Amino acid sequence: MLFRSSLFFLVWFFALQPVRSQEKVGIDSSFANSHYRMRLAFFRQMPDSKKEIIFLGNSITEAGEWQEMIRGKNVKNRGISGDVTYGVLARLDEVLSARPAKIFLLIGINDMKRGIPVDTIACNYQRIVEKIRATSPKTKLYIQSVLPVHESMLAPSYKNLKNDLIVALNQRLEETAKQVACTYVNLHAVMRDEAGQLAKEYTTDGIHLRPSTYIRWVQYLKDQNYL
Amino acid sequence: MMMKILTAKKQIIVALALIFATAAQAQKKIDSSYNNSYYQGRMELFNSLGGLKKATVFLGNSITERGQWGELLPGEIIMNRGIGGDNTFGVLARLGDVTKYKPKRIFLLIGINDLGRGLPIEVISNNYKRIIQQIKTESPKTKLYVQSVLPMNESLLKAVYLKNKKDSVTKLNESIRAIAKAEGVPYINLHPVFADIKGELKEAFTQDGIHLRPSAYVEWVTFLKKAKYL
Repeated sequence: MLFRSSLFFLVWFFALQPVRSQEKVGIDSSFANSHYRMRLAFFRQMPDSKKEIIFLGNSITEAGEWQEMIRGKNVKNRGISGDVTYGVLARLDEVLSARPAKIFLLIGINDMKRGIPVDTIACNYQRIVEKIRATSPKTKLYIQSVLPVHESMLAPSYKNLKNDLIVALNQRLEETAKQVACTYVNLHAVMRDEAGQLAKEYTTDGIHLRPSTYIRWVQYLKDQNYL
Repeated sequence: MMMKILTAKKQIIVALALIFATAAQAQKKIDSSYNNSYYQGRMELFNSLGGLKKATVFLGNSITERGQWGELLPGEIIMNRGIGGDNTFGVLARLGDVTKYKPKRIFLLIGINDLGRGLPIEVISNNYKRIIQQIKTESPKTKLYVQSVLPMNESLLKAVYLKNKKDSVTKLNESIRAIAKAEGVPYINLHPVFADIKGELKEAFTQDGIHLRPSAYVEWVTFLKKAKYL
């Protein structure tokens, strides 16, 4: 098992080389921290099943009680707190091995937190989408917009997060969705206030969501007939 | 003379004041608070989610909250009612919101945060008794499983307030076991799954000495299934 996963990371290390060579020195593309490894080890222990509905992303996805909110469906939480586009790329095989019915993807804010340029994040996103399309063409892919933040509430460690950058990234994600004919889910519009910030009543710290906000999120997905 | 009498009086006053102060301090030590913003946030979610009949409820603190119970037990109706940081007072306060759905089973695991704040075993035990009795009264058909408080790994623990609690954990579990027996509900000793030879939480199962790695939950569920609790 250990050997398999090291081999896996090695393969991805080389697979990611072309992306890396385009980047400026100083881009932090790391992802395999201890939480990532623990969560991924657990995911790999879980058997594949039919008609999986995958919620794929970072802490915002991980903190959602998706199974309880979406009763009667085979829902799987594939959120890993702190994850970035590089981390999602590296673990897509685990998600795709079951040929899931649907994937709801929400990733990118931690990339931005590290100061990775929007263009790089969008390119990685494109790679994620292409990989999903190529490996599991029947999977319905829902590209969810990166959520706005409430800038004045953010801790200093989130200083790189700016709503205008998020809007720029979302434009790129919407284009990607169009190109590959998958659904772009404009959650940004659901969660923002009049000033374009993450609405205060939805968040605890300017970036993460209050538990009840997830109810609204799921309701929106249901209203749009995505669920 | 006057001075001496006054001094004597003063001494009595001081002594009385000391007695009251000590009593007040002893009172203060029982920190029964639970209703923090995290608790409120989870409660908002639980209220919105409501509940379903025939559910299996996992009730407890962060250790319960972090379990992917729904995925670990496909086909079961799962209600994850874990709240990070919760204690026996917090569970008591929200118990009615669980029993009103008349769940099929409740797996209870609570008490380590009570020990973390230094609450006396008697206080925690008394709360346990109240929790068990309330479940029995409000939802008599619910199968309640009282689980032992898990061991911790002393050398991995960073939080000072959790250090040197091994004896307290043992004492609390003895007390919980006795209460469960007296109340006629099953007590599940999880230590055979989670403790190493020295009685410490197995290193392979934890990173911080108290919380469980995601894969430890697989072992937990396997144990519950083997023992036919699930």
